[in-house]
Amino acid sequence: MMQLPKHELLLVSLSVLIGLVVLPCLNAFAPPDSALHVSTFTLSLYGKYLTYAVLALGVNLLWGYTGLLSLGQCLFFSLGGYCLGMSMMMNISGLGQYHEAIPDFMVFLEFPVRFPETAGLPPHWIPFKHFWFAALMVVLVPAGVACLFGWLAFRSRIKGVYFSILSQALTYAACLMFFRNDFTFGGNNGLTDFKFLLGTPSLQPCEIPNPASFIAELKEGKDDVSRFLWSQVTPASQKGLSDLLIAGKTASAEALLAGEINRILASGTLYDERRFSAVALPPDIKLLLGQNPRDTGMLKLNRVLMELAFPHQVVKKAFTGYVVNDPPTKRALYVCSGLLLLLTYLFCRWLTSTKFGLIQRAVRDSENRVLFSGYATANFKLFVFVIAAVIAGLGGALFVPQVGIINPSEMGADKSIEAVIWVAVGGRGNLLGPILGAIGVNSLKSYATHSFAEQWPYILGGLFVFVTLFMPKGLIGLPQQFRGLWRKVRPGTDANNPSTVEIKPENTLSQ
Amino acid sequence: MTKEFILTVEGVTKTFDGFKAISNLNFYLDTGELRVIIGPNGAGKTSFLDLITGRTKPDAGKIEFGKDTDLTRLNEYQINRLGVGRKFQTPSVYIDHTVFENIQLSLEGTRSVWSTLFSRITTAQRERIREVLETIGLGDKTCVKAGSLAHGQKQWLEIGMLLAQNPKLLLVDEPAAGMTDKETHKTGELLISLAGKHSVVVIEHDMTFVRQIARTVTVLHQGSVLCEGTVDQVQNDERVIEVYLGRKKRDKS
Repeated sequence: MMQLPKHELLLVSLSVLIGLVVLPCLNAFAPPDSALHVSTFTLSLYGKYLTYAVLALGVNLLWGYTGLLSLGQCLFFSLGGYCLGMSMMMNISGLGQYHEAIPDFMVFLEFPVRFPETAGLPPHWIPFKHFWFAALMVVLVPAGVACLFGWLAFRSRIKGVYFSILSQALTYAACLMFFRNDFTFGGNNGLTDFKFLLGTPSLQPCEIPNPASFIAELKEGKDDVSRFLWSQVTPASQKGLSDLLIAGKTASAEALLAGEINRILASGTLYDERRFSAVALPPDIKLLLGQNPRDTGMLKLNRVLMELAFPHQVVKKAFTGYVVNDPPTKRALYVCSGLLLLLTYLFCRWLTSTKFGLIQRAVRDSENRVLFSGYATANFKLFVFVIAAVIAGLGGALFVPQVGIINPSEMGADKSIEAVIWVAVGGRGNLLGPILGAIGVNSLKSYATHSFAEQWPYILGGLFVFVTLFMPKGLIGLPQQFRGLWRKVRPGTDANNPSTVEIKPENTLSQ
Repeated sequence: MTKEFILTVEGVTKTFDGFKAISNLNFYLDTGELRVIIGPNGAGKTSFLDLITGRTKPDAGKIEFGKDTDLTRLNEYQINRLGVGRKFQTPSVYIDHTVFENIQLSLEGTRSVWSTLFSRITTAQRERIREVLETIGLGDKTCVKAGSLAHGQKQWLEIGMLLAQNPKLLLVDEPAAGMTDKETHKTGELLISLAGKHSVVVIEHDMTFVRQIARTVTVLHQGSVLCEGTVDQVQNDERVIEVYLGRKKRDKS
């Protein structure tokens, strides 16, 4: 069904071997002082390029294969990113500047006043505490927006440059909207300061099986840890807990208690030699205590200490999530980006090899003919547009944890144009070009913005003009272009018949 | 018993920015008939095809396909699916596709997005594509990109794409443009052979070609029918000589 040309198969396998096996291994196993070591920073940088390459494949599916020049693909990239960012923000676990359960920006924007019923959390944020929901939204939100916009645009037969302008206006409008603080997505700061992915060591209300007896135990202060904890609970909450228990509202008491304990766990190390003198600590915990971990590590440790100090009151649960900034997590995210790129590449290969792919290119070259052959071209364009949006969203979702921030400037009009430039530079209308373009241009950008930041926009613009004028097939088409030139320059070869030129030497050899 | 009309156009008017491209046009086409439409530039020939195929909607009047299918309510692809195929004035083929793929995309069958994702080409379809390619004389160009064909071959390829759709009604806009005399003659023979099985409307300027294929000729002038009849009748009609052939003679002198 799907056949790769031999040289492409070789190239892809080699890239997979180096990118997905060798680099992560060098990061994990090579000693940090050896020349072969790949730092986690470098690996994350490459990971970022890989997610950009995924975005580029989506742009190419639209522009290179269907002739739809969308200047708004970064909107979908950012939407995917925001969805995953929200899931990570829901795991902030009180480790922000304010040690609250809600993200910092919600605290300083006074969301607790705005949304008192949910302790400051805007209602649409709540389901994002489930990772599966966030993952689903990474796909559904970009797809939904693309579906709505595409349906309106294609139904009204908006084509060519008008479509480009509209798509740019869409991403610009979204950008302005996300800049607003009351849009509840962090305003111009966006979402940042991620702590945990796929879980949190914080105490969930359901993990306190018997709140009434636990509260009584704390109040009584039967040991040093209990006394310390109760002293840290705010007087208002102390009263609140008693009142709630008297009123029989166990669930509310449970939630309030969990919130208070989590705040205490997040604001400093729980361990104190005297405080824990009565608690038997296993040797591995003692070892960890000696390292005096901070931030995420401290919270994980505090949770274990809670379980040890109150074996009957706190459910014992191994932490199954990931610390976003841990090197192994970064490495895993890099590998996921590589796998996503590979899967997207294979998917695009398959899609363009079907009859659908034929129609895609037919729409690009002669849409009227397709329309007058009985195909509802608007549906085909809509389908590709939604697919490209989903691809962009998935790329964005992996971009955000690796970069550590997502803000509205990611959906600015300039970003989407940059993505188009990657595709133009790499070579549109084939599948390796955009990947090459995205990685190449961004490597250049990283270098250039270091050395001559001021001139970078001119370099990028100049590159685009140069490629458009002199390299219509981009980097990937360069060998072919050179071969064409060579044939023109070299006398005595048949310029009109490339096949004979290439086959002749082989024939003479075999004879 | 009278034959059924495959196409009924009555009292159709279409105005573009105050310019009456089509005005009170009446046109009837028998099932299986081959009709040639001629007329000076700007007579509304292509606008007429646009109206039938749903590219533009009439301001007034009715356009019916077969017994009682109202074409004015349908859009391009719906009209095509009813069995109305159209060849454009300038050949529009998929230049980046092979000749084979060009025909493949035109074959009759479902047109939904899902079916194109998962359908595979069947042996019967391959046979049919070869058959069409033989008919239009491109049997040896199967794997050539359509963009590299000669102008006349592109015209044939587009006719072939129409045939592959197996339409009830073929609307052919200037099929002989850019063809050599020999090619033109061959195209004529092909169109004549199609009549009977299909109903065919041909728009043409080349009078030799018209003489070769025409049984009935309709002359359009300023958006309405000036007269209808055999080639000889039409050519001897004084109004026609005045508006069309007459002017042509004056141009030449």
